[in-house]
Amino acid sequence: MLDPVILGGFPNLSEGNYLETSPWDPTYNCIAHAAGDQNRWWWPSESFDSYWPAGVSREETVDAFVQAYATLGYSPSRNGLAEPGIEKIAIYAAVSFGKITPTHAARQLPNGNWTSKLGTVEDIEHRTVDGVEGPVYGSAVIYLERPRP
Amino acid sequence: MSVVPRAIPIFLSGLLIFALFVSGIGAAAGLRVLAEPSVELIFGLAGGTAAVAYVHRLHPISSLTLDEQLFSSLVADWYRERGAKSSTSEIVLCPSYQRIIGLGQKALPLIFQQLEKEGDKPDNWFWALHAITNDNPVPEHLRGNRMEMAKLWLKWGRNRGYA
Repeated sequence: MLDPVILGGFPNLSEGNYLETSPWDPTYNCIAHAAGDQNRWWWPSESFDSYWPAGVSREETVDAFVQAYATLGYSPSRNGLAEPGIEKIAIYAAVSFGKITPTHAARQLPNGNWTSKLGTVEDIEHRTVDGVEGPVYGSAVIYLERPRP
Repeated sequence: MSVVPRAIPIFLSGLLIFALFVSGIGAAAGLRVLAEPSVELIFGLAGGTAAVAYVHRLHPISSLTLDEQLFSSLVADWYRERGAKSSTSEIVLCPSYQRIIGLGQKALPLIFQQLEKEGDKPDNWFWALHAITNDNPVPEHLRGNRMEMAKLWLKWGRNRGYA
């Protein structure tokens, strides 16, 4: 069960519609987890403490995140519906100081559910993409896809 | 949690110890147990010792320094403030993290101690370390690899006597 303080930021999550799939781990975040990387913290900040794919602009914009995942073979998708042989990512964003800023990414699993790393805390599997929508992550704004490896 | 409110019960406990010490002496004098004046002292010490044991049970004397207590408190607050955020910039701009940076040089041994305690799950202390020291031992190709970054920073800290 997630810490109640954490769970409080996700009004669509409740006991029964999500599953914790990893322990607390501050070494990687959701952007890395969606990319299949559990060894680094991904973020486009200019500081030295985060990884960002070479050649991709270090900007906190949805476009920069789309470019980052494009380095792994992802391209824009029409929707987040599960399709056989296709792996999808949902990028979430919220409005911050009048700007739409990416906040989170989730990756779709072969069973159609989604996997999310909640910041520094646990990974969870959640049934729907809106499971982690809310005041912390905003909402899913774009889907990406690639052939499932 | 502020240190000052925790100091009040300890101060009051000290007064209680003194009061029981004096009472012990007074009780011995009142009982007129023996002619030896040292008996009053023994009663006083016994009373004081009992009081110390009782007070320590209620308010264990912390083995942490005030700085360590403050740091622990700020770390706990930082965890709460950052919640489930993934944005590096939002996480390091949390007020408690900024207060840790504000401790300056005296935060360095505490941060390194924390990094050692975190072992193979190091948290993002690197922004704070860079802000305080204006140094960065992490090469470009290891950016974001927190385990490797922690090893390099701990080596940096040991070389300078902070860790």
